[in-house]
Formats: sequence, C-alpha cells, structure tokens
Amino acid sequence: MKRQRTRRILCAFLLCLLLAAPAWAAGTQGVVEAQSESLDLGGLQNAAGEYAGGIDLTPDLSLDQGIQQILDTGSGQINGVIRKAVRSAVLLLTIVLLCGLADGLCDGLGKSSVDVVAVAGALAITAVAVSDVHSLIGMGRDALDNMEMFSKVLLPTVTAAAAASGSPGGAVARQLATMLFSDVLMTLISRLLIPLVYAYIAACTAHAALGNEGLKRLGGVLKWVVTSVLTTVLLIFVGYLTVSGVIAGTTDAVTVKAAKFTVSSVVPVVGGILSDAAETVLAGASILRNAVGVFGMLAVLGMCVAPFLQLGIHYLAYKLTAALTATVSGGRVAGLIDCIGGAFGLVLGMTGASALLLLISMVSAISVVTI
Amino acid sequence: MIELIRSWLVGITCAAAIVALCESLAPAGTVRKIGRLTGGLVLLLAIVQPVMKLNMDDFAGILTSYRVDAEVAAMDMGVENARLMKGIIEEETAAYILDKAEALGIDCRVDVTAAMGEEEGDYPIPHKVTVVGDLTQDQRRELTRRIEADLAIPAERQAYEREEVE
Repeated sequence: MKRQRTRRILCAFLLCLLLAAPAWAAGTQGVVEAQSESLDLGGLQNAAGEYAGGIDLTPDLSLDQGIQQILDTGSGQINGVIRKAVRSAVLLLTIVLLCGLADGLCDGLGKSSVDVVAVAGALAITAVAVSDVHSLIGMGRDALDNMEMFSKVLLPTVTAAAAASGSPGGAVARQLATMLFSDVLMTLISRLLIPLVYAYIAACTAHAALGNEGLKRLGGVLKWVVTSVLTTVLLIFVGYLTVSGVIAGTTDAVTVKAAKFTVSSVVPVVGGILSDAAETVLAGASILRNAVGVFGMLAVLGMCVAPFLQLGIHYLAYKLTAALTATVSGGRVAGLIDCIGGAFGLVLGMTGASALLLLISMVSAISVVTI
Repeated sequence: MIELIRSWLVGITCAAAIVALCESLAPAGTVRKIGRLTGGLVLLLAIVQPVMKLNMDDFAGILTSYRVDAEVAAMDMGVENARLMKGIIEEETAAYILDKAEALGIDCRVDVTAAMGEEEGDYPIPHKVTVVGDLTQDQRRELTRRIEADLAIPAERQAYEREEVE
C-alpha cells in the first residue's frame, strides 16, 4: 500500500517535471523574442549585410554551420585567386629570367657605373606588382572599414546583451577596451601603417635599383615598426581586457551577491518567484548574448575571408617566386619580390590584427558564465 | 594621437639628419667626440619630448567618453528586462494564488500587479491582488490570510470582486 503511494507520488512528480519543462522553455522563448526586439537584432543583421553569408541571427544560431558557409564562400573564390596569383608569379619570373639574360649580355660588354639591368628589372617588377599592391592594399583597407562600421553596431548590442545577462561591469569594460583599441588601431593603420607599407615598398624598390645598403636597412626598420606597432597594440589590448575584466568581474560578483541577498530577504514564496523571474530573464539574455557573439564572429570572419585569401595566396606566390628567382638571378631583384610579398604580409597582419581584436572581444563576451 | 606620433617620427628623423650632417662636417678628434655626445643628447631629447608634452587630462577625457558610450549601451535593455520581470512575477504570483484558491475549492480569476522596489536595483514585487469570483466569507478570509502569509500582501491591497467565473 505504502509502496503504491510512493510510486504514485513519484509518477506525479515526473509528470509535473515533464509538463513544467516545456512551459519554462515556452516562457523563455517569449522572453527571448521580446529581448531580441529590444536589442534590434534586425539592425545588426542588416549591418553585417552580405558578409554574414546568409546566416540568420536567431537564438539557435549554429557556429559550425556558419563556419561551413564561410568555408564554402572561401572555396568558391580560391580558384580565381590562385589563377591571379600564378599569373603575377609567371610575369615576375619572366622578368627575372629576362634580367638574367640581359645581365649576362652586359657582363660580356663590360661593366658600367650604373647597374642598368638592376634598375630596369626593379622598375619592371614594380610595374607588374603595382596593380597587385594597389588592389590588395585597397582590399585590406575595405575589410578594415567594413569591420569598423560593423563593430559600431555589434559592440553596443553585445554590451547590452551581456549587461542584461548579469555582467554589466564586464560588458562596459569590454566595450570600452574594444572600442578604444579598435579606434586606435584603425587610426594607426589608415594614417601611419599603410603609408609606412608604401614607404617600405619604395625603399625596397630603391634598394633593388641602386643597391644602397642604407635603403635596405630603412626598409627593414619600416617593416619592424609596422609589426611592432601591431603586436604592441594587440598585447596592450589583451592585457587591458584581462585586467579590466577581472576587476569588473569582481564588481559584478558583488552585485549578484547583493541581488541574491535582496531576494533572500523577502518572504520565501516571493523570493522563489523573484528568483525564477530573474533566472528566466538572465537565461534569455545569455542566449541572445551568445547568439550575437557567434553572429559577430561569423560576420567578422566573413568580412575577412576574401582579403585573407587574396593577401595570403599572393603572399605565398610572391615568396615562392622570390625563392625560385634567387636561384636564377642576383639577390636584389629576388629580394624586391620577397619584399613586395612581405608588404602583402604586413597588410594581412593589419587586417588580421583588427579582426583578432573583435574576435577576442566576442570570445570574451561569450565565455562569461553568469547563471 | 596620430598627429603626435607623426610629429614625433618627423622630429626624430630631422634630429637624426642634423646630427649626421654635423658629425660629417665636424673635424676629426675631440671636437667630433663632443659633437657625437651632443648629437646623442639632441636625439634623446627628440625621443623623450612628446612624452613630456602628453596631457593626461585629455587622455582621461577620451576614456570617459568611451565609458559613457559603453554605459549607455549596457543600460539599453534595462527597461525591457524590468518590464519582462514584472510580467513574469505577476503571472507566477497569480498562478500561485490560483493554485491555493483551487486547494480551498474556490473557482476564481486572479490579477496581480507588481510594483518596483523603493531603492535602485530592487526587483519588482507583488503589490496588489484582485480576486474575481463568487467566494464565501470563509473562503475569502482564508485566501486573504494565505496571501498575507505567503506573499506579504496586506489585506488592504487585496481586492475581491463578485462575478461568475466561466
């Protein structure tokens, strides 16, 4: 008799659980919908535009599916990019071979005070590379502009969602750091680093033509300045984000404790209701924060995929061509091709640094555990 | 900021060019050594000068403007969340009262109004209850007592309306 009663109670309890779970889910669903409207997720989706690759910003957004779409976009473009890079590489190789032949002829005729072949070779290589340099630096710049514009919409949305999910201090600190460093990095890139890349190419070309060691060193210094500035900004950003995140996290923990104290100070039934309501709202905001974070990451990656492919493949093509030409021709012309490849590497680094800054911020927003 | 870096780099380059020119013009020996030392000091001054010119108040102002933007963004969902919480609390409280009423054999409809706490950061709490239904005096007394005890809503904030519930 007693066992039968226990079984009935157990069955009733399980039935309650089964009925309560969908009800809670339905409640959370309604909360998430209301919060989505308040966050203006449609505006964020529009800001991402075509770069989101048709990914819909919904609470059940899948990272794997998004990455797959980005990879599909990348693989669709890769053939055209490789063809373009190979064409440039073949042109450069032809010039170097012609320069090698001309150098042999000049050696037969006797040396002049000015190395005419080197000057002509450097100018020819620059002429071939100039369209690549112009289009690839332009592409890098466009990607940076797109990321900057998108971040102005993305960061406040992530901040609002993260603050609503129970870590307002951390959200404010994260947006402050990301906005500040993103603005500093963008300004540095557009006003200082890209002109320095052009100066680096000019110094390399001049060195290839004239053979002045000072120009080679100047090129080296310019490259060092660009890489050092990018590395320093990223290191300071990560350091600042970590320290400010720890401080803000402590403040948030105190706030949560105070809220729990407030809830526990009211009568138990009301406390339970308050606790349920707070948990539902926080859970909804956490779902949205993660969805916005993942969407932001995918959109940033979508913005970078084309420039990364173009810059990366051209970088490899120029470096390989430089290695091949070094076996045929003198070091200066091969060095120039290597330097131009290096310039693509620098622009790739700038685009990568800006993307990394946003990605780190998104990952740090997603990784916060509040409930 | 960028102008500062640009003028800093230009300053160092100009100083380096002047130092190199002076060094090449200076006669060999002690004069050149003194010239080298002076040139080094001039270069050091060119490197350190912008740091001395930095105005920390400007930097603090820039940081404050970024912080204000971030705090405005963080408060963006505050009103909506408070509205949602109020709705959930009203719904759950009403469901709780309805459950208790059913246990007492009362067939009624319950409306609850929640109000925000007096202090900032307080949660909305159940403030007023309206019970609509055909209740006997005993049922009403018992339900009032239950609501008072469980939800801390005093009798004066409990309203009872007589109406047939479908």
